[in-house]
Amino acid sequence: MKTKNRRKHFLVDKNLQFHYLFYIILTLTVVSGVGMTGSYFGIWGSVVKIFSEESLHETMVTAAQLNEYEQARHPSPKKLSLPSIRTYQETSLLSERQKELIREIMDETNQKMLALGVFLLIFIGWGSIFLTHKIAGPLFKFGQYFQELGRGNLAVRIRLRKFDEARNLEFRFNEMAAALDAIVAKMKRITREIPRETALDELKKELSKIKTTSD
Amino acid sequence: MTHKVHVAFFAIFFFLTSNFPIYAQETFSLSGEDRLLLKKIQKDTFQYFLTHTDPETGLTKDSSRSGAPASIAATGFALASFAIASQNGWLSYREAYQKIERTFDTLEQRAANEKGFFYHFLDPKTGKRIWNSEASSIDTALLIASVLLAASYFKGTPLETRARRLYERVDWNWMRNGTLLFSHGWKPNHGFLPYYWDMYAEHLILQALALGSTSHPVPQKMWLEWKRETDSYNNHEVVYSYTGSLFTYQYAHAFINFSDLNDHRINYFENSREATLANREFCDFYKNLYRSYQDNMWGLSACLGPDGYKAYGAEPGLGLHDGTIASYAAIGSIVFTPSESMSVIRTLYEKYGDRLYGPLGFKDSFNLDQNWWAHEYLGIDQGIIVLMLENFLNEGAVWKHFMGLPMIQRWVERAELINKTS
Repeated sequence: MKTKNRRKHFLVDKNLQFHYLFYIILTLTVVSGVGMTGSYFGIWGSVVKIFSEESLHETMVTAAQLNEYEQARHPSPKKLSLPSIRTYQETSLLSERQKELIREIMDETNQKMLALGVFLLIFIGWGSIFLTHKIAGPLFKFGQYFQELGRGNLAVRIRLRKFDEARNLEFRFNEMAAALDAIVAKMKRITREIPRETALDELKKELSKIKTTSD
Repeated sequence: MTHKVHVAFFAIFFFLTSNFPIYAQETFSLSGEDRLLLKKIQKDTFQYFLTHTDPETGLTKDSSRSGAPASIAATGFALASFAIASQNGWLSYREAYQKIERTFDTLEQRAANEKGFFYHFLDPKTGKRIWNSEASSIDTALLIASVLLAASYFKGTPLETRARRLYERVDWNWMRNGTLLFSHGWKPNHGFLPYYWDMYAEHLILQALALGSTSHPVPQKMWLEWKRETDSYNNHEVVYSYTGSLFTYQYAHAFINFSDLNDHRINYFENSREATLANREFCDFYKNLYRSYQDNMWGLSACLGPDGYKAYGAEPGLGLHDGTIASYAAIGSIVFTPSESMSVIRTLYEKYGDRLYGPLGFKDSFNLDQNWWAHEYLGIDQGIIVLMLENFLNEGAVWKHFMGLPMIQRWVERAELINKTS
């Protein structure tokens, strides 16, 4: 029993399946592309900018100047005469600044990644609804038309959107509905136009073309 | 008869010295040409604050150098400058108002602070604390003084209420760290800095604002706690600052008119005048050692120099000098020594202007001996030029606004300063 339902062919509708393969690859490419670009500008872009030669020079000059401000505000002859202490203080200030910059980069990155995550979530959500609608839409319509057909309306015909999936089924369904419509229409015409004595035979002939469970 | 003449002479002298600002005692008369020059310098210097204030946050860069952080003291001077610019017609009332309003928004909502004390250096784009800077007592005082001053130019507007709220937010009491002196600042990981304002310096503005506070009042004794060390140079007796830098005798005086106020026997306006004259004579003494001091040039104050930023100064005080002259020093002393300052300003402009004067006024400093010329403008040094020239050219306009503030009046009372005019 188990082997009975096992899939033997995975590509049962190559056109449809390759179509969706393309959509999924495209979506993942866009998502990872946006994610990677976002990460680059969020982290590496800021790092590259902050550690550029020009920026490093500016930061070092600022460190030296702020340390000099500090010394000018709290002058002592000892401090002024020891260049090693001055270098140490500048380095320490520079290191504090680098920590601040890294923290800033991480904060900025977190914010950017959060915004990017929300954007991608919306994009994936919207894309999923769009793609599934291409299948769910026709299925929903088919359900409605089958119901209508069940109620005896043989005049129904399906009209799917241009890029909806299962457009081949649309044609087959309409063909089936048209055939049923033609048989029943003919039987109705017989009852209306042919004299009673011959009509029964004609009807029996028409009905014999239709196969049912009671045959 | 002779006795009567003497009495009459002293009576007239006493009348003059007690009823007029000291700067008016001098026989100095400003020529039309000099007035125009000073106006030009003031207007050009003001451009620094237009150019280097962030249009979104209203925070002003510490210096014109690329990559410089915003400084809260420079931001303060920018606020004062915008108000002055509106008064002088360089900005419309509306433009100045909007600029000040934008900075107030940042100070209220975004600028990093601790109990109302702002961090010394901020990111000009975000207002976040940077460079591991301290919540600074003196820089906050300079900022708050400017906030109150700027708002006083827009009476009856919401700026006044907002300025008062920023002032009332400052917990002055906290900054004394349980002592009777103000700490220089506080850092999140280290606590209070181990330096206190314990002798004469620019902290008089901090004292004034704190003693005038009703929201976070400090003990009255604080005014008497810091030392008034006295020393003299060439018979100029001065209650001196540790470095002897001229700016220490100028910053508080840009806002407060000390000419009418006596602190017991000390008049700090006269003190600054003596310190400026001492600075001038100190330079004159060393003119054979440093070429910069020739041609009657002087002006030793904290500024950029060939070996970086230094607290240059004269005696009395540490007296560190290497021939570097700060451009703002003589201009910042113009209310004390108009004639001597004007002579330096003319030389700075006429003789060295091609190297020293740019689109934003005088660059920070120069050293002839090492043929070194600053390329930068520093925000606070630009600020003192704009404010002091406003006092000098417009009959103490800044002083009139600032001295009328209720918190300043309260400080005068609490410090028991004697108003010579009353």
